[in-house]
Amino acid sequence: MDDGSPLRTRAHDRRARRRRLSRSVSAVVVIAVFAAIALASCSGGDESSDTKKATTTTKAETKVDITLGPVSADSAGLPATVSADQSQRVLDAITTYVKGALVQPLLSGKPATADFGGVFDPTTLASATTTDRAVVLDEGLPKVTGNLTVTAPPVWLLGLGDKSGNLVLITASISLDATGETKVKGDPLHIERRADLVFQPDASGTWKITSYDMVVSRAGSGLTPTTTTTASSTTTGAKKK
Amino acid sequence: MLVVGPLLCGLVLAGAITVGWVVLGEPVPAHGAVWFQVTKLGTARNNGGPQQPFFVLALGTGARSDDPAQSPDDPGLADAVHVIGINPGLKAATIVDIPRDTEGPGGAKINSYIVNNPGGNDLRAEADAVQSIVGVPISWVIRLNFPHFQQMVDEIGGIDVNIPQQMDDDFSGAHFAPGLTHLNGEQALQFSRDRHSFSNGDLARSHNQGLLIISALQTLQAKHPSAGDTVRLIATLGRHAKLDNVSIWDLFHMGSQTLSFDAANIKNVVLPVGDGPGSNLVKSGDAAGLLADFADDGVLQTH
Repeated sequence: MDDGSPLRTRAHDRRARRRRLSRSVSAVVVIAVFAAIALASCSGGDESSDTKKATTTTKAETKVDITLGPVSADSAGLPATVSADQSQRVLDAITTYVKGALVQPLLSGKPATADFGGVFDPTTLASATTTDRAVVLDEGLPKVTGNLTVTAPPVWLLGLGDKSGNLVLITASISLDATGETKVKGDPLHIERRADLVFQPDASGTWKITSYDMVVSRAGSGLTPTTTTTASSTTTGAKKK
Repeated sequence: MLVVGPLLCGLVLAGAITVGWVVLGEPVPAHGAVWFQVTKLGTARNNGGPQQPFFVLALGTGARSDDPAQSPDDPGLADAVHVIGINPGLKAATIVDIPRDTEGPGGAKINSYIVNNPGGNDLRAEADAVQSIVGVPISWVIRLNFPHFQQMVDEIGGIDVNIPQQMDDDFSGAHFAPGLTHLNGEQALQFSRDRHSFSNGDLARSHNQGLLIISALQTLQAKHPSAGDTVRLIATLGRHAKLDNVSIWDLFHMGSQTLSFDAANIKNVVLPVGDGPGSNLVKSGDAAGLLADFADDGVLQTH
């Protein structure tokens, strides 16, 4: 048996050439398919094209995650407690505030339209929506067109009881962190808000904000310098040329 | 053609970006510059309390116990009498210190009305007497006695006081060198009781009591109290003070307001007094002008 005959060698070479050609053609086809899919999906091509129909759209999501943290009470006399129901009502008011003051204006790109009468008492509402509006409400910012995520560490509640142990107020410390994708190129919109809120029940028993101490910082591309009438406001910025 | 067009465009674009990235490197903003980023920062505070000027009477009595029977040395005379004018709009306040021997209506010393109204509202009786001297409407009255004063100061962690001068008085136990000193409850009581270390006796003592109030505020402010901290402070004050016409709610808002005041905007003055009948003192000098300045908006502008 002679395995190294010329006839046998030529046949081996032909098979090797066919395998190489086959592999090259396969590679070109795979690359072309991947490239076509990838580029067609990001191209601004004809609306009626078949490739446009093949793309998938991810719907923007809005997440607001605010939960209750430690709840306690101090008192000027007999012991006071904050009940589970009272805690939940305060948390609900905070969530209503966040949705109306932050989420709605950001998603709509328009001023807040929520009715905050159930969240603030009348006197405090007047300040919150006039003098302190630029701090309390997130208006005049780029519209969030992508995902909007609002997170916060668990909210701490501390009640104050009078000499008889009756609960007269509840303070809530919140620290919100919101990030939203806008159409403005560059960094997403990022809002940090720290607030001490004081709640008191009104005549109907609804716990409403009667005072606040709030600090907000907003960062991201496309924010324009604004003049506010709040107690303290600074604006800085620069654009690379 | 529908695929080839974007394919070619994408390849050219990707190639240009890749070549640029490799040749020029990762884009880095020039030193000190940022890439189109703007930060806004705003703060707002609304503490919900009274917006108009108001007056508070702060009293310290010599009672050694809440039970008069347990305080034979002192029935609870008000040896510390201070009218505090608070102007929320100006974020300013003034403490007018009333010397204890100042003559009140009917000729009694001002420190005695609180104990000369058996069965009645002792705090209101004292407030009415002070009101007749100072000429301002006193809305709220807060009273502390010896043990509660000491306990309260200890519970808030003591008070840092810039002691104005050497103090050596065995009666009160005050022995302090001038300068910034951290006082616990017992020491704060000694400091506010001492009248023997000074040539003008009770006048300097009254002034020191006002100084202690401002120092307490500064000490608390230095801890940057949150609303929760204010709740704890007010609960502490509420446990130890006897109150008239002041709810815990009022106290919380008053506390929140005053904690936001710059101590430089709080004046502390002793009511000008001179000799009167017997050992009584009566208003003298420019007392009338000072009180008029005080009464209009709770703070002194020209005195």
